[in-house]
Amino acid sequence: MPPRITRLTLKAGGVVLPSLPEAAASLLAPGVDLPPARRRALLNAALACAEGREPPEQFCAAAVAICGERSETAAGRLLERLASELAPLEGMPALLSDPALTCELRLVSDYPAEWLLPALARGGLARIFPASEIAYVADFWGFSGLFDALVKRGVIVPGQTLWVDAHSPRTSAALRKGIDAAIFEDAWRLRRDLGMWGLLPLSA
Amino acid sequence: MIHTEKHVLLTEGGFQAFNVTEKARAAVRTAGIRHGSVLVYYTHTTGAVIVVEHEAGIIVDLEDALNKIAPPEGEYKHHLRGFDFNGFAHIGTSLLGVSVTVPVLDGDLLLGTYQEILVIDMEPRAKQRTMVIQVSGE
Repeated sequence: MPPRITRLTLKAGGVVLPSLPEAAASLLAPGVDLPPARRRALLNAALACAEGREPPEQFCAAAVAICGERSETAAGRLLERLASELAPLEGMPALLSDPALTCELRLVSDYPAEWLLPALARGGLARIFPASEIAYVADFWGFSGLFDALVKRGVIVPGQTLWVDAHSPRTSAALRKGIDAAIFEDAWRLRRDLGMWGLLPLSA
Repeated sequence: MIHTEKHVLLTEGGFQAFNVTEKARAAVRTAGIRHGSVLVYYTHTTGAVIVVEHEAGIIVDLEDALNKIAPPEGEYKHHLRGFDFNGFAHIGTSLLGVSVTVPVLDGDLLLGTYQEILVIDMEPRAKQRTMVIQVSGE
């Protein structure tokens, strides 16, 4: 019997790429464990950017302030570095281009195109996720009504699509809307999960 | 030797799972022990620590199961003082427990193939939470 799931729809941040707060923090303060209040502030700034409430420039200005970077050019440098250095998470290009993975792949991005598209190209994923087929969270006015909007737009087909996300409250929300979901931990675990969904051969 | 770490988790409010397995594994590496155990402990009364497969369906099923036993909209004597209204989360925590201990063998966690250490937070409000990882052994 063929697998019921015929499409994987992956969230970009935290699944294909590092989350935006992680990416920004690793560029601005590598190896530093930010205090909780700053972590929360960075999460909120990234959420505003993902949902299109703030432009990328504003996120960078907020991020450098949160990370304690005082240089006047720091925000501009972060903007450029996110465009030129952001890279897919380890193992994801190999997994997503595995010829044994025969289901359709779609991407929902919480990154703006100016950071996402170069990162996909660097990781060899531009062919897998053509720019014209990428959905952006910002175009759906944020996460609150995201699943309804993605279903309406046909990005997610309940019963046939597996939503892959690193954020467990959102996978729970998807399941409660009748959308199959998998929690992303890393490429190795996702490969194992996809095997259990019948989308890849089960590894030994 | 005993090595203790504190980690801060930022919750969003509501039923939320955090996989802390890699943090526990890293603490064992930092401690440098070969044999012993690692304790993962949550210092709160509306959150728990469990060992389970970190699978999206299981998280929803666990929340549903706890909601049947202690519904969030239920009436609780805990609410009588009018300070907070999270009686269901205290019951859930009491049922699941606030710590797990995992054996360490040859410098790694002795977990089964699908076993992961999860913190389950049930507090309705967004909070800053503390988890303790304590490694004991030699």
